[in-house]
Amino acid sequence: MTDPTNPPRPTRIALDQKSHPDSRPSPKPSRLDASSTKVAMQAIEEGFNGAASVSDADVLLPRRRGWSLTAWGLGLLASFLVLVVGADAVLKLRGLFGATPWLGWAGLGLLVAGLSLLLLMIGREWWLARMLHRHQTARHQIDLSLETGDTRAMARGLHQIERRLAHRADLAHAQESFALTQQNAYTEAEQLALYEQIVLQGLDQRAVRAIRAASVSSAWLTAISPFAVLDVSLSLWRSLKLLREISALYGGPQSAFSSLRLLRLVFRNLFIAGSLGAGDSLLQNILGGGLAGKISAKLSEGTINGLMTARVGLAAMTLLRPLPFQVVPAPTLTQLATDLANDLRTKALGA
Amino acid sequence: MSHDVRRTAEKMFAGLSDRTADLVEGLAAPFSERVVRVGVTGLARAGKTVALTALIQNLLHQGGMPLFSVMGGGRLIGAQLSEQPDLTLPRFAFEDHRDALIADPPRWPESTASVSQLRLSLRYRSAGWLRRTVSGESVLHIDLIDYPGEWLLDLPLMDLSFTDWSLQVFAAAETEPRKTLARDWRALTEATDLNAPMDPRSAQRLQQSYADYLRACRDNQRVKLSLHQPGRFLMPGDLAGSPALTFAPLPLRPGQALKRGSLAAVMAKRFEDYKHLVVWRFFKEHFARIDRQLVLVDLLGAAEGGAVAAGELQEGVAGVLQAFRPGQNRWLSALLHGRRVERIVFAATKADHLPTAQHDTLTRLLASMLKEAQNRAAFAGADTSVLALAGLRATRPATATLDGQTVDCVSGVPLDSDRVEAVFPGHVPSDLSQLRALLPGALEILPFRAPDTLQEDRPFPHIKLDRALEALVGDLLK
Repeated sequence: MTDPTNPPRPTRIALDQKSHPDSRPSPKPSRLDASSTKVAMQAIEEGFNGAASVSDADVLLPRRRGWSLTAWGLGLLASFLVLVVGADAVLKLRGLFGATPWLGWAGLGLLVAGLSLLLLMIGREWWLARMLHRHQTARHQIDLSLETGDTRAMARGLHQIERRLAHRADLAHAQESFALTQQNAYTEAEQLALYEQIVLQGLDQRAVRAIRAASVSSAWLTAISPFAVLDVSLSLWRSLKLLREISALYGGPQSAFSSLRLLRLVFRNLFIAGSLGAGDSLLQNILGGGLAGKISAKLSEGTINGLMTARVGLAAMTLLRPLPFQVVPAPTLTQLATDLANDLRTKALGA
Repeated sequence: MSHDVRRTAEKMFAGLSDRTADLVEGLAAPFSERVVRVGVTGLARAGKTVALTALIQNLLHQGGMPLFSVMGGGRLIGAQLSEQPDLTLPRFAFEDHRDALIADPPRWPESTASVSQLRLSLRYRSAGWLRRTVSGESVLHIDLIDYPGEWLLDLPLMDLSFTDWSLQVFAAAETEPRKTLARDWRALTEATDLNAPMDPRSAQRLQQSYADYLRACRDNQRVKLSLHQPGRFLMPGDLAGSPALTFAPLPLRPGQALKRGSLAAVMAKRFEDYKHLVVWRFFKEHFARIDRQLVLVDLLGAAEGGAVAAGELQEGVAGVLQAFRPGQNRWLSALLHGRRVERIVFAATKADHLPTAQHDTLTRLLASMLKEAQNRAAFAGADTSVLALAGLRATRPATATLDGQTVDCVSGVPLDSDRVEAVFPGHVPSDLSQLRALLPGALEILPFRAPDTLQEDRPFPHIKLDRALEALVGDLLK
């Protein structure tokens, strides 16, 4: 950039009136051709340059593994199955054609339609998985830039987040307020803080509400379900639904499979971050053995399940939020646990 | 209601001293709406009027000051201008200044030359749960008291005799650019007989010539000077032409006896009168009642002027600081009754003339200047903070390629042009030693036109005005 030993002299350069973008909150200051005018209005570098600078050691990112023996084995088996089913299908179709041509055509049509829909779904899942990965990388880069104080990366990250959430009607008001602050010259770090405070805070509150609802319903469902297996699957189903909700809130991908992937990520994060530590089990004991336990053993189990759901939700929130919690206080498990206890008490006692 | 209570209290205690009245107010404070008196001052052309206008506009229209915690946190319910408490003081003409800025074409408001006041009332919710539960919505009245910084620079005069002051003035006029500017006044002084009996007309002439010299120093474009004593000569307010302002420094020798009734003796007496009738009165009536203080400094202008201008600004800042260090002045500490300004925010203005990346450098430069002023006499007292701001942001960021280097610029319409230009102002030095070594022409601070996008019902664009306000009164709005 600037050579400190030989700084350029102060200069003024006349700009073409037309080249100056409209001064009301201009969405994109454009870069002018440097060679012709020598001048460029401020432009934040756009585009996304992938995971180039991200270390693979990051625990939050899904690791890419080579093909193991198991994978080979399973793959070959799957190929065999596909072959068998395919061959069977061909034979069956032939039979159909042999019986009546129009039956054969109908069968073929159904097969083709089914296969193409399946392909579409796979494509979509692949796309969503990529999106998730991209979001994780973007978040990681923002974390990095905040640590290192890299202003360019901060500006780029903020720009990406803004673009991702730009079309959201529910955020229009917040985004307008944020745009209003952009007429003042804030540093990149301040801008991120403002974005968090003005735009993300509302989303956080909605996410916390979703977590609260999910943990209560998960606890309640556990309490009234007759079999243990049903508990687990109900909790799992509720957690997946919660993940989808949170993902949708923060502008992330949402579908059944990507939620599963997300769940895997969340669990890895939970275990690695050590959230299943001793302090929490104490909390569980208090909650489980406390009021709920006195009412019924089943309800105390439910509390634990609800707490687990809350924890999954909290982890998903930290993962999916486009910015780390900086100025806005992060929601705590203790707070959620208290809320859960309150909600359950009202529900159980019918108050 | 509380206003009335205080009125009544004031009437009841009218016979008692100010101190008692203050005490009564202090005792009543928890039960009434709170008041904080914020002094806003600035040395010559620091952009005080614009900053104050923008500050009020931004307080009245939400959304523009997210870093002012009560606004950013969404706790401010509303802000409005209300009746000022001091009915004898001129009101700060906020509407006129705002209208000048939003006019088509926009004009910079005219500078004010006297003390004025405005009361802003903020209704807000406390951040703390307990306070919110106890008192619900709270109200804080912010009395903005706007006065010229030059009046603070009169403070050092209090400790000087007429002869000492004259010697100082003449010594300062020996160096350029003052030497050239002082030529007429000095010629007139040389031609005057100091021992001649007092003649009102020649005294008037001398004073006017000296005031012209001060004005020339203030308006000097190339090198921006900041030390103009006595301050009232430039901003006489309602005292223009009065005998208290009719004196001028004279070429006296140290210890010279003054002949009774002579011009010199009368001038010396008027100098003393000025100190007691004007300077002391200002400190008693206005300064002594200020709780928080915002001091605006046109550091960029001074830096552009190089070593001389920077030296004068430093002297000026040191003079201003003296006013906040009452321990040094016995009469001032007696006047303040041990009470002092709790918080002072020093702000380098016109930061919008620099690209964003240089704002911190400007802040550091101001901090280093203050440090030197503070080091001369230990500055123990108020909580001070330093920042770089722009009351109204008249530029937008741009980059340019110059001599093969990419540099950050600002773009806007300069005053002497009618089209948008990108301006690279140079690099601001980050401390005083670098500033003194700055080559002439290494900085170029171009005045810009006010932006034509301002609207009456929207906050004005600014730089760090919210941080300044947070530093000033943020703690009262918790």
